[in-house]
Amino acid sequence: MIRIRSSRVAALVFILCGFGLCVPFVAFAAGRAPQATKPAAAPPGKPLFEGACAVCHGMDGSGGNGPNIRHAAARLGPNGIEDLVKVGFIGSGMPTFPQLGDEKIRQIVDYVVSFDQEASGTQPGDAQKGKEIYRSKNCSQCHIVNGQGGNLGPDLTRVGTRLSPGSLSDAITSPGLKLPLDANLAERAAFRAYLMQRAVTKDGREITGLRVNDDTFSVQLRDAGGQIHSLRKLDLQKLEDLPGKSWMPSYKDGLSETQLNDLVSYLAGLRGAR
Amino acid sequence: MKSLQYVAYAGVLAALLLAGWSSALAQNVTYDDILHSSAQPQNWITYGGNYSSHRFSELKQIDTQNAASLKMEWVYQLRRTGIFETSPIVVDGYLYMTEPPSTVTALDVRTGKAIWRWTPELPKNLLTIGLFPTNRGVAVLGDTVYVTTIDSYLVALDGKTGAVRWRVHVAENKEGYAITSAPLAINGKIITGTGGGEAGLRGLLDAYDAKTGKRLWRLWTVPTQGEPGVETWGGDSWKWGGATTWNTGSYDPELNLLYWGTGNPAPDWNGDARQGDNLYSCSLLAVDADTGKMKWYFQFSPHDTHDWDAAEPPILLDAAINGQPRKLVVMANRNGFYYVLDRTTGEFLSGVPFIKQTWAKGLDAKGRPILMPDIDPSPQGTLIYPSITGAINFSSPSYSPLTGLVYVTAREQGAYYFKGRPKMEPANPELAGGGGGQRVLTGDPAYTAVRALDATTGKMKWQFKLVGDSWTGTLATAGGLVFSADVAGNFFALDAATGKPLWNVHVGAAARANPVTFAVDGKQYVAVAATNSLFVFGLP
Ligand code: HEC
Ligand code: HEC
Repeated sequence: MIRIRSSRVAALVFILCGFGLCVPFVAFAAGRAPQATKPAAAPPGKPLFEGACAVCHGMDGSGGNGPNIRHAAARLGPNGIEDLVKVGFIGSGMPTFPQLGDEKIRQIVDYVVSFDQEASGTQPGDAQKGKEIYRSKNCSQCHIVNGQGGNLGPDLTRVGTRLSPGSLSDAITSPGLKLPLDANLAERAAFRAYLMQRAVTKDGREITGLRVNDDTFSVQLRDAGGQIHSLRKLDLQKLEDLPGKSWMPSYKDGLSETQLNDLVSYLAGLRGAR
Repeated sequence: MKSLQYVAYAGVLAALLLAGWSSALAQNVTYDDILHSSAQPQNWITYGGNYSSHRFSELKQIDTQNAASLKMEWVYQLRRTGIFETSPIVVDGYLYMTEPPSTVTALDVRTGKAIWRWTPELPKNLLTIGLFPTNRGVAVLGDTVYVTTIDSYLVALDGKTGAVRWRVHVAENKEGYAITSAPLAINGKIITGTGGGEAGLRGLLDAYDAKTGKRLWRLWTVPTQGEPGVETWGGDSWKWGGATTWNTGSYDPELNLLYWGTGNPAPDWNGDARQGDNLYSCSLLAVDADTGKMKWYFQFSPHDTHDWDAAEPPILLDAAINGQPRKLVVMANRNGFYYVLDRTTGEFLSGVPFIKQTWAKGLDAKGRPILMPDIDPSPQGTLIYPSITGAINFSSPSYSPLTGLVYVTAREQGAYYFKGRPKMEPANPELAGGGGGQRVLTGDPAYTAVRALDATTGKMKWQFKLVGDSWTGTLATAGGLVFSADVAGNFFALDAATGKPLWNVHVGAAARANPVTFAVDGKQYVAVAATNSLFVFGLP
C-alpha cells in the first residue's frame, strides 16, 4: 500500500509511444487535487537524497554501489523505508541516518516514494476492459498474475510498480525491445534477463531460448516449450545474442488503440496484493 | 601384535601432541619473518602476502594439473551478516580474520572452528559517511594481533586469547573518521590510515609503537595553512580536503619507505570551490617509515571530480626498464591507467590505459593526464568511463615473479556523473561527498575481466571475461595459478600463463574480498570470503 502525502502530489506527464505515434498522458499521483498550473518546485527531499543516498543508490535511485531502489516503495511502503533510514539494515551495507532527524528523513522518504509514482496513477483506458482483453488474448499462457498462469515471461503481479505506462505499451507492441534487469542480483550482476540467445554445443546441438541466468561459467536458457537448458560455457562452441527477439508475439496489429490503452490501464494497476 | 599397535597409537598421539604443541608455541611473528615471507609460504603473514604487496605464494601443491579437483574443506559462517571484505592472516595453523564491522576471530585452520573472538563496543551514533561498515583484516607482529575499528581506534590483542593489550584513539568518529583497512606491521611499528573522504575531513597516516601503542608520527595528507601545497586548494577548501588513506600500503625495507595511496578530494563531484590540483589527493605517497616525512608523491588524478581514489595497494618490484635495472612501484589505478614509477625517486616511467577510458587524451612526459574537454560532472549528468567505482577499486591485484605479469580485476563500465554542492559540510551525513554521484550504465556491455598485464609496460597478455561485476582481488601462486571471484559467486582458478579457466565453484553469493592461500600439516588451502561466509578449499 502506497501512503500518499499531500506535499508530494505532482502532475506527471508521460508520453505514450506506441504504433509510432506519441500520445501524451497526464497522470496524477492519487491523493488531493493537484495545484493545477503551478509548476512543481523541486521536492525538498531531492537535495537530501542526492546528498545522503545517491553515493550508493545513484542520483535517480537506479543503483550503483547499493541496489536499485526506484521501486522499493512498492514493496516496503513509506513506513518501511523510513524505518530503514532510521535504524538501517542490521548488518548490511546500508547505513543508518539517525542524525538527519524525523523531518528530513520524511522528506527523503517522500522523494524515494516519488520514484515509484511514475509507474502509477490513473490511466485513460478502462482497466476492467483491459482485464478482459488480457484474458481473451491468453496472456496468462506465459505470465503469472497473483499466482495464476505460465512462466515463460516475467511474473506481472507487480508490473505496475516496475514499468511506466509507456514501457508497458512498448512491451506489448515491441516484445524483446526493453528487457528487465535480472531480479536476483540487480545492478551487481546486471545482465538483461529474457534476452533471446542461441547456443551451439561443441557436439553440434543447437538451443535457442530466453536467458534465465547468465554468469561467467554457465547459462540457462528457456526454450519455447518452457523447458530449461542448463549449459556450461566451456561446452559451447558458440553463444550468440538475438536482440529484439522474444517468445512473446507482438500485439502491434492485433489491438486497437483503445484496446491497448485498456490493457495498459489494467497492467498499470497490477501493484501486488494490498 | 598388540604392542605394535600400541607403538603405532603412541606415534600418532605424539604427532598430534607435537602438532598441537607447536602451533600453541609458534604464532610469534618476527619482523624478520615478514621480511622473508616467501621462506614460509605456509603462512599468509601480512595483508599483501609480502611487503611488496605481491599476493603471490610460493606454494605449489595445487597446480595447473590438479586444480580441477579442488574440493571444499570447510566454511565459516559469520555470526552477524554484513559487508564481508576480510583478507585473512594465517600463522602456524591459526587464521585471524575480521568480521564486519570490527570483530576479530581466530580460527583453527584444520577445522574452521573458532578459538577466540573479540568484538569492540561501538558508539550508537556511529558515523559511516560514504563507506561500508566493514573491515579488511588484521596485522600480526610478535604474538600480538592488531586491528582497526570502524569508530577509528587501533587495538592490540593477545594472539592466543584475544585479550586487549592496548587500545588507542586514532581519530574522531564524530568528525567522520572511520577505519576499514588492515593495519601494516613493520619493524616495531604499526601503520594505519583512515577512511572518511566523503565526510569533510583531512586524511592522515599514523605510526604507532607496536609494544605500547604510543603514536610515533602522523602525516597529514592535506597541507594546512603555511605548508607547501596548500595553494593547490582554492580558498579554505583544504580544511575538508579528504585524501584519506583507506586501504593498506606497501613497504620497502631497504629504502625504509612506505608507499600509501590516497583517496578523493572533497567534495567528490564538484571541484568549483577547490580550484587547483588538491594535493595530496588521488596520489601515491612515499613516506619515511622512521619520521613520517613524505619523500615524494605522485598524483595520478589532479583536481579529481570523479572519485578515483588511488586506494589499490601498490606493487613493488625490481625490473629492467630500457635495459636499466630499476626499483619500481606499479599501480593499476582506479582512473583506468596502469602506472610504472621509480620507487626511489617517484619518477614517472610509463602509463597506459588498461580499460576503456574517456576522460584523458593520454599522459604527458611527467605522467600528468592531458584532459579531454567537458569531463566534469554536470546537473544533467556527464557520461564518462570508468564509473565512480572505477577501473579497479580496493581489491588487490597480484604479481607473479614467475610470469612477470600483474593480474588485475578490471571493470569496463561508464557512468553519468552528477554534480553535487561546491562546499563541504564536515561530518554531515546528508552530504556524502558533497552530494552528487553517478548513474551507472548497466546490462551486458558493463563487465569485468581478470587481465594479465605485463608488469613493466601494462600491455595486456590475456584476459578472462566475467559476467557482471567483480569486487575480488587476485591471488597468484607458484603452482601457475591465478585465483579470483565474481559477484555471481563464482570462485575460480585460471592458468597464470594463458588465462584458461581450470576450476570453478559457485559459492552462492557475491565475493567482495581478496583470496589468500596457506598450508598446515603439509596441505595447501585457498580461502575467499563471499557475502557471509569464509570458504576454504583444498585437494582431496
Ligand atoms: C554506503 C552506501 C549506502 C548509502 C549511503 C545508502 N544506502 Fe540504502 N542500501 C545500501 C545497501 C548496500 C543496501 C542493500 C542492503 C541489503 O539488502 O543487504 C541498501 C538498501 C536500501 C533500501 C532497500 C532496498 C530494497 O529493495 O530492499 C532502501 C529503500 C534504501 N537503501 C534507501 C536509502 C536511502 C533513502 C538512503 C539515504 C538516506 C540510503 N539508502 C543510503 C547502501 C547504502
Ligand atoms: C508466448 C508467450 C507470451 C505471451 C502469449 C505473452 N507474453 Fe508477454 N512476455 C513474454 C516474454 C518471454 C517476455 C519477456 C521478454 C520480452 O520483454 O519480450 C514478456 C514480457 C512482457 C512484458 C514486460 C514485463 C517486464 O517486466 O518487463 C509485459 C508487460 C507483457 N509481456 C505483457 C503481455 C501481455 C499483456 C500479453 C497478452 C496480450 C502477453 N504479454 C503475452 C512472453 C509472452
